[in-house]
Amino acid sequence: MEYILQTHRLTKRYRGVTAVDQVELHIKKGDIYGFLGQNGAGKTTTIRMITGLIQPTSGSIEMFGRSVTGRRQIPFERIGSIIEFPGFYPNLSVYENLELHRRLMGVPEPGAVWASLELVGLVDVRDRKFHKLSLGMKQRLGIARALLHNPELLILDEPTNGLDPNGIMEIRKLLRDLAEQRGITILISSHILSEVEQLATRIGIIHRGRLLKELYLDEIREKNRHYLQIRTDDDRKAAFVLEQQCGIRDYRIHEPGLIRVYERLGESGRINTALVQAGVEVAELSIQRDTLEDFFLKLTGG
Amino acid sequence: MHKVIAAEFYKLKHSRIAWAVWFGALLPSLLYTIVHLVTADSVSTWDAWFGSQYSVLLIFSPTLFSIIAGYIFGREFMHKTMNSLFTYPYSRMHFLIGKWAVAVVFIVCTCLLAFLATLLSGLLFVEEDPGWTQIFAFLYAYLIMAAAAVAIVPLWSFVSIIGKSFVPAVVISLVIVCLPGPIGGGSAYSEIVRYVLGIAGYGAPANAGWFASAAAGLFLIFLVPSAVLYVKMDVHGGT
Repeated sequence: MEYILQTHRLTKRYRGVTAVDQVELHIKKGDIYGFLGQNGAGKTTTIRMITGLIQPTSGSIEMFGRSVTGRRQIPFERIGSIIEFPGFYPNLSVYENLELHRRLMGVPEPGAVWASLELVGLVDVRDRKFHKLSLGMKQRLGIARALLHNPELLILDEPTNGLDPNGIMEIRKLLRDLAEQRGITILISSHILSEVEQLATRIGIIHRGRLLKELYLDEIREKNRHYLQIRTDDDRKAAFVLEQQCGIRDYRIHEPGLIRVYERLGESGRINTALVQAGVEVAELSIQRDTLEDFFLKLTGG
Repeated sequence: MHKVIAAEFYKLKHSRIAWAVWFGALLPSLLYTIVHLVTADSVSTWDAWFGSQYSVLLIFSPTLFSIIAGYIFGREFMHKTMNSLFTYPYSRMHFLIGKWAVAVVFIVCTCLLAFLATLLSGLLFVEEDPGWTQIFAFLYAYLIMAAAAVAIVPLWSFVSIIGKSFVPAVVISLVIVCLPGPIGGGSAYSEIVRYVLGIAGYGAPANAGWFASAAAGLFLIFLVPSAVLYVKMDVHGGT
């Protein structure tokens, strides 16, 4: 199996506090890998270790089939990244910032800057100084820089921070196209589950520094159970009716007034009748399926 | 390496820090030119004309050069460009050397421009004809000042990396300039100024060998920890 990026028991400790604890990432060529976790879960620290910004306390990293024991071994020419915030030089224009990147990356074609600007739709503001850009434009410029040298692996840490819904959609489409058309492998970290759900093909869930699960999104969809969602005015009374009259044990009060029943889904009519006859008002009754959010919450105990 | 040095210069394009070079180089001459234009006085010797302007530049040079060097090192932290800087296929040492090179070039340019400005403005007011021996002696004095300033660059880089800003360098420079001397009266720095003036050929002659040793020592003392810190440090979100 060809892994573009693997980590083995990657750990980072700060004065006795373990920020990342024996993380084992496995990212295959062509994956759009969603690295999910709450704020402070250890996503950025892991990414910083992968990109050589932080020295791991222990563990190892393998990139493109080669062990990376130090910063010098990291094949930066093959990686594009945005880590936390796309930092640029405020005194330089959009074009000049990318030109600087082109020169440092050793890209011989000057046209690469223009192509990159076109890709993210920043051609019109190419002469504008970086400090005069909106947050959304800064993010897009960060992506332009990450892509300028045609990387094989794109590492994006919360790339949609500060983007409006349209901007998020554009970036999502752009990343999906890049993965499909150019075969770029993408590692994208986020705490926004819906964003990852719509983009990623594979996910890794990190919680309190530990990687809890790594699996394909299709597996989650298969695993996620269907349930009968009942919205009612009195969840305690409804729960009593479900247990006593319908004999249902596998159910959960998801939130006040909202019950999820995981068994006897084919008997929704009978359940409804029982509830109504017991004087419980049923505002909604529908068959649904767990989302990635549900899966995430179950896994992290949220 | 040349790509990194060129990139370090490129980063300062349109930057106001370049104006600090012109400001530092031209201010003494500008001040003396204005004073002599207003008073319509002339100066009898080149020695007096150069000596006074040299002293002025020497007094504010630590602060001026701390701003320049501190900015070159501290800006990467202030503008949050460290993340991208260290994801280029060059060692961190390359970037550190690149930044040192830019700081040294800026300092030397400031001193040489100041020398030229003093020479050109002197042609208007100094009665004495300048001789080549004299001109080379003045140039030597300005190069001594540049050497002294270069010796402190690792100190500025060290405190800017630790403080993640140019501000600590400026504060320390002000402390150096204002710190009281061991024997009441002037500041400790005024003793250094007097010493450098002596080496440069003004006032009581001073031991150039001792000066060279002290400058080299100061340079090395902060060069090594700067390099170790820059190469080994973890780059976090706050930076």
